Amino acid sequence: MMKATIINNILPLRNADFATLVDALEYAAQGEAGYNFYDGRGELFAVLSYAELRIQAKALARRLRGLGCKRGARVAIVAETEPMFHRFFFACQYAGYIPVALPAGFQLGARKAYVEQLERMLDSCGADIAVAPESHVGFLRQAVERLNLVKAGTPDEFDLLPELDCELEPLRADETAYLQYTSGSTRFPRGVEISQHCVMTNLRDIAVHGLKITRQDRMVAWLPLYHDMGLVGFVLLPLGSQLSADYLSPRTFAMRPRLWLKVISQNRGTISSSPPFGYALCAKRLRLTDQDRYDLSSWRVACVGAERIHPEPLRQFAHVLAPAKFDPRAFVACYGMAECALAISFAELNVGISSIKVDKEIMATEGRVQIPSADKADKPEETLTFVDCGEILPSFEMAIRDDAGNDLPDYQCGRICLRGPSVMQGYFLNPTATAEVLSEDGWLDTGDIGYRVGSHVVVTARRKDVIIVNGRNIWPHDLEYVAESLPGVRFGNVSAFSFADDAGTDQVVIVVESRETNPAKMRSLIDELRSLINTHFGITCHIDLVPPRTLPRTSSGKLSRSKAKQDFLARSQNVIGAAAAGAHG
Amino acid sequence: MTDKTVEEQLMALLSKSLDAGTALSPQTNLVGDLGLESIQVIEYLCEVEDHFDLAIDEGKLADVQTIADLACVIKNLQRS
Repeated sequence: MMKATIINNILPLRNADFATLVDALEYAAQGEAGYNFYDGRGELFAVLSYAELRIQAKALARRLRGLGCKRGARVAIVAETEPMFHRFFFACQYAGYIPVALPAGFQLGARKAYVEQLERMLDSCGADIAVAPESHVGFLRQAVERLNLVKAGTPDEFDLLPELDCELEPLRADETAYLQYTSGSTRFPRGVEISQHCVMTNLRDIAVHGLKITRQDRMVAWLPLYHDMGLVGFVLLPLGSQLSADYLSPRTFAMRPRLWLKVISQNRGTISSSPPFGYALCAKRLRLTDQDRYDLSSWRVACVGAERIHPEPLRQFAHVLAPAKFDPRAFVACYGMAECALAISFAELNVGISSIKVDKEIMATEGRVQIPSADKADKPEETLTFVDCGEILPSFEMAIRDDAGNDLPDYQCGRICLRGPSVMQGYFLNPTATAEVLSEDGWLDTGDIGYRVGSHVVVTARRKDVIIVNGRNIWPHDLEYVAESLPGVRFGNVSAFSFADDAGTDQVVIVVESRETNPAKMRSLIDELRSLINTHFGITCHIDLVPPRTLPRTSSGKLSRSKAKQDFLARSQNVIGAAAAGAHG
Repeated sequence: MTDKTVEEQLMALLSKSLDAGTALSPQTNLVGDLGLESIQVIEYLCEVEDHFDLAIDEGKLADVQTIADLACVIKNLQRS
């Protein structure tokens, strides 16, 4: 019978103090830890120890080298949660190639949208080689039709290649470790370029200062491996500290969230992360009789990140799982992004979520933190609650800046800017997008809004315009582009945005200018658009048809999303209180 | 089991998560016509897998538009 790798590795703990990922794997391979893969029923279906990974990755590296690509060639890997992902990722490290994780989609009826997304990503990173598991290779083959790749296929096809008889030259500390597509626009994908030195610095910061990893730790994840939290947090981090990691696929989690708890419980997992929606989904879908079947007492760090954190769903999760010995002090708010490898800050361990209530009116008008007066403090409509995302990791410098670039004092909201060795090299082959966020003296403008209290950061709004639905980032550009593709809708006459409803959930609105005045035809245009958006993005939205020249434009003729949103909220009857604060960010 | 039965079972499972009286046919487009969000689709697929006691390959889903498409995937799985 298959057995998962162990927790108590006898190998002395080294917390990511390596120059490169290959150095980290060479060390981890001397111990007994590794990766364990669980299927849709929560059964272990594959085990890949670090020792085995090292052997397989080196053999595969020689096969890839035989294809004759130049050093630094890009190898795109459709990232299903399977051992093949790890194998190809580390084969690249040994071969001197750059791995690029691509999303493994599972949206209903989304073949066309998915193939196009793959094609744009393959094109933008200039992929030379691409691989997808059997389940996704059909999409990959379609996506590469118009591109000029050296080879694209299934892992089996690569395994048939001959091994080149050569001395492997692994990627060096000053070379690129991987490209990571941000969860940003799918229409205009940007590949974050992360060097070995950059990712190793971040892993060390996380292991030593963020999570304080020890030999008793074991990681469990259901996060997609093509996101920074999955790739860096649960593939590279356990490797860097020689821990075992257990995986469920994102789809398994979405279908049966209780399996996450089952794996943590049976394997005595200690570290597992999720965006807030994962905790909410889990709490919502648990059967009331299930809780005491689990023992979650081993779970010491339950990271919460990737979007603005609302404390309420977390309280709910902790409440529902109290009988399973889940300790709410395990919650750790964290802040990070692919542009910084993964993590920027972690809240203090073993204390749980620490939130602060502020005066909503003053936050909305002045962007300043003011503790609400006694008469306002108990009125939810007069206050906003923010979560302390903890202390900035030691390798970062942080500045909070206004739009003119001036540094702001404590408790004043502005753009969060960072500098340090964990900041990306740039967006791959995209100097324009890079120059928009990265200054010549190395400051990254994160686009997120927040304030500082000493070295602590509190994030008040993520990415100015991004819309988050069930943990997925959706960019207004992409919604507008799809809307504009519909006959009867003209280019540049659409504005998409979201507002937070009373429950703090993003509601998506698309305002469309149309000359149509016939009510029946207006109705059918709305229905058609809603259905189109749903097919492409898997979300429902509100469509607001307005007469031409209703949408507000700036002096240069550009649409103003924030003004469009204000106008919409003023137009619609239900004035949403939280929107005022959201508009400020 | 005849073709019709699988489709009827799929519609019966689906109608549980829809407003009462929503008309369904094998040609109903799950996403486009019903406006199901991805998370609702996943919940539905979860029920479908449990009901038929099988696992649907993720790669197959991108070509599924209608109830008839889904029935076809299930019948193939039942045969194999």
